[in-house]
Amino acid sequence: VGIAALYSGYQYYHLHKTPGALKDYQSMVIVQIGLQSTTKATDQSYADYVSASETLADEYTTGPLFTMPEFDNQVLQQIQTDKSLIEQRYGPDLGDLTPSAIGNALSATRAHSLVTVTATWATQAGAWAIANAVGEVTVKNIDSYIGYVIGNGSTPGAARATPAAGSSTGNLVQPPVEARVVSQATDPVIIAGPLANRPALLLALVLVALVIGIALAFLIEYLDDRIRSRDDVIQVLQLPVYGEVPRSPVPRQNHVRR
Amino acid sequence: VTISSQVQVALLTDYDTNSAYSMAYQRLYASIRLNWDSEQVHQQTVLLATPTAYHGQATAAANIAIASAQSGTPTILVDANLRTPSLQQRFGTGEHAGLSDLLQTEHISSQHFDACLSPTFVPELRLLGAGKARLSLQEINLLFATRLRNVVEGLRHYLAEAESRPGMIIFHSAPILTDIEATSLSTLVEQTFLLIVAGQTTRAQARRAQEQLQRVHARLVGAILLDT
Repeated sequence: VGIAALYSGYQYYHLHKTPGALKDYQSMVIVQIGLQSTTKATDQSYADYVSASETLADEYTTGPLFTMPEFDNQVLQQIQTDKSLIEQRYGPDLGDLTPSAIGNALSATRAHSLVTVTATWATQAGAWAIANAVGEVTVKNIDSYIGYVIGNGSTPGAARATPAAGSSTGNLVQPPVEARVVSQATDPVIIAGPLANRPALLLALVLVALVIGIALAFLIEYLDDRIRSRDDVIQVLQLPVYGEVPRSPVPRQNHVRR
Repeated sequence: VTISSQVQVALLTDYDTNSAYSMAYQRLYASIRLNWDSEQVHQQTVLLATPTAYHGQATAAANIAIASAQSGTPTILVDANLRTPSLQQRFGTGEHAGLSDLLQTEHISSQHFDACLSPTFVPELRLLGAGKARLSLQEINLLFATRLRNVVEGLRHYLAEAESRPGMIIFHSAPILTDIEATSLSTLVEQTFLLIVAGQTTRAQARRAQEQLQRVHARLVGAILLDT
């Protein structure tokens, strides 16, 4: 029981000290993905636009975008840029921001062309910063990550250098991919962390250990046949006990007998 | 004779008479004494035995004998544990003729007892040690079966002749369940007490010892609990 309690106590302390283990913060940003309206004459109907937007939103939501190092690096850069705003709103505690951690913190769902991106992070400031930065990066650079045609030099980096390169200008007729933030990053809300059920498990462990300990004590007591008290003697032998002699203490003095 | 301090700590005389330890033995002796109608039985014989071996058994017997002597009763303590004798060493009486020598003597006279009984540092307490003669297990069994009664009766007479006051003879023997001597002795004494060692003697051992004593119709009058 003692060992289980110590182990549980240590684990709980450890959990408590680990940010994000017991509770996380979530901030959401909603973006709309679509095609830029164009003045150039195209043959496409509105239905084609809707269909293309949904396809692009789906690509954005389920594709590997969020875990792409380029995207995550851009998000990180954006966070650095926004730092003063973030600190002003939620304090300086951003947590351990790395591109891969940002990638893992992001998830998204979509309804037609509206995509809700959720950032789950151990700190309030970090969650909001990521969600906000994702919105901004998406608006700025969406066309360098997803599209329905491959234009000249439309690769991640290159597109960044010349925004919407050649899509809306020149003689290309396809409207470029656009994104806009529909709802700004929400205030972070507390959610249960991935190890939130651990304290309950540890408590259960202690309780189980306690029950087992008590059961063992009773079992040992039951199996222990030794006589321990005057009552035991009377019960076993049905004889009177004439006396009970205590354990010999240290004597008063050493003396030499002759 | 100087004896080792380890042995010394064991005896009652080393403790303050007002200590709980000392008082417990005095009370114990008083309870045993209550059973004894000295008008009818002038020389009371008592056997103290544990079911199984316990290193403090001899101490308990010695302490009860000391309590008896200190209460003014002429007392003889007999070390009938011939296999592992300890009382001579404990009382520091040295190598001395004792029970084994008496058992080998066919006709015991009071001179024999004079030679075998040694006075101790406690007035009124004399010790009949295990003796000098080294006996084999077979000899012990045989002599206990054939001669022990003579020795016990002889001791009684000797004490009766030596003392006008009622006296007590206390036997310390080998454990009941391991050797036959305690059972043999129990048939010859007025009172047998089972020494139960708390935290060591099991219920099964206590019951078996009791059954063994009851089978030979020993007068098992009670138990004494020794705390460890």
